[in-house]
Amino acid sequence: MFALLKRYREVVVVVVVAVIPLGIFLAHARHPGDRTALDRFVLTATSPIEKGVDWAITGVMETWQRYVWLRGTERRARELSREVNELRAENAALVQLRAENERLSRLLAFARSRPEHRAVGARVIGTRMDPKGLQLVTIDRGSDDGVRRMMPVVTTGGVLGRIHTLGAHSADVLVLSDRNSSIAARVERSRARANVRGLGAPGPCKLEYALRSDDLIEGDELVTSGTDGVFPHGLPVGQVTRVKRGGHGLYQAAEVLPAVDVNRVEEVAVLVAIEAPGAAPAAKAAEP
Amino acid sequence: MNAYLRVPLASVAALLLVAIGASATRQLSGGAVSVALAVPVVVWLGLETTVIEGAVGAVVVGVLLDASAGGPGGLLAFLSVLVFVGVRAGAGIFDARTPLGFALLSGVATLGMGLGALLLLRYVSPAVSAPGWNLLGRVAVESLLTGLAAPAVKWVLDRVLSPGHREQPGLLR
Repeated sequence: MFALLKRYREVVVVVVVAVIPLGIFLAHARHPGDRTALDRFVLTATSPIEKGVDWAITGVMETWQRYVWLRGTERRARELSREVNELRAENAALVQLRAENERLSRLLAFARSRPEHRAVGARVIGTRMDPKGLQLVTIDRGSDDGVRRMMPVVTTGGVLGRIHTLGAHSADVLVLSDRNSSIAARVERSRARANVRGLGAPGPCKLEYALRSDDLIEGDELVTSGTDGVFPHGLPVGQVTRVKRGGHGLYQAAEVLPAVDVNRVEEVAVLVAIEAPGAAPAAKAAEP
Repeated sequence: MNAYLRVPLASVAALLLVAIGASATRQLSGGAVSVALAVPVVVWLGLETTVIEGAVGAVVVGVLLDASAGGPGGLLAFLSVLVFVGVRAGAGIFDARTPLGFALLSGVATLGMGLGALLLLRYVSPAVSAPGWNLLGRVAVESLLTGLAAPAVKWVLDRVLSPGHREQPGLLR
């Protein structure tokens, strides 16, 4: 018997190592239990290996994709670049819209703060600051919108000018820096009166007819006096920046920095009617 | 190498390969396919070890496969021994020690193991939980991938476990 087993020991071993697992399988297959200690050991042993392999494969794949396999990367980069440019343009447009919205909101607030005036909002569509001609700003409102010659044009900052030439759907505004523009003003601090006249170029204007005896210092704010028949009183005109008082003469001279930068204006309001009682001169002047 | 060390080392190698296979297939396919990298270890045992050493090694690798697969205990251990016996018996038909022969043998062994597992599980499982024949496609893909990876496994095993002598094929001597 032993001799037989010894002779066929390899077959016996093979049969034994095959039959035992089969028996275990058949015995437990219908009633699978919880994980055994061996199962848990294998899980514990393989987890770090899996993590390591995971890390290694991820590293290799990332290196491959980032530094070696760059097929289509240029095309993708071009697409993304184009998309970035489009988004930038869109963003710039949105920023512009927001800025415009803020300006219009301020203009609306300005108009509402002066209930005695009826204002028509307008957009600047052109500027002509020819040194050989007039200093004009073109707006997109005209006679069909109720705009008339000589009507005052203002911004949230203050006075821009007055309507000069009128079309059905547009109008030219003679800005306060034009040589032909003269606005009756008053020093807000001292109530001294004078005229602000343009010098023919965007930028500082000069103060005329300020009596030598009047109280005028640099930094004084000037507002419209309402006595020129065009502008209602109280609108900001500019700031006195330089005062020249000579040794003789009736008047003193000064330089005025306009409250409105005519080169940067985009939206304006035309004061088409002054509804407050006693404002008849401006209303009359607004007639073409 | 000492023959007593080859079985433990082959078992460690199988454990490593199981982990590598699981991680690699998850990384590369998201688990859509699987690869049985431990089966080439059983095939290698069938080619390079004695009958007793190889049979013991096969059952140990099978037990590890059972533990990692989470299926009923004993199933893959039994099938590993069958694969070992099949390799011992069939390896003499062609030169299975070449990369191509080893790849073919490993692929066929994986296919056989998969089919055997399906049949046995269908036999013992209640009808409602028995594995369906739709898994045959996955078994076929797993066999193909295992066959493709098998030469690399053999290359590593040859160098790590470097057999002192080469066994002649055949179950009985």
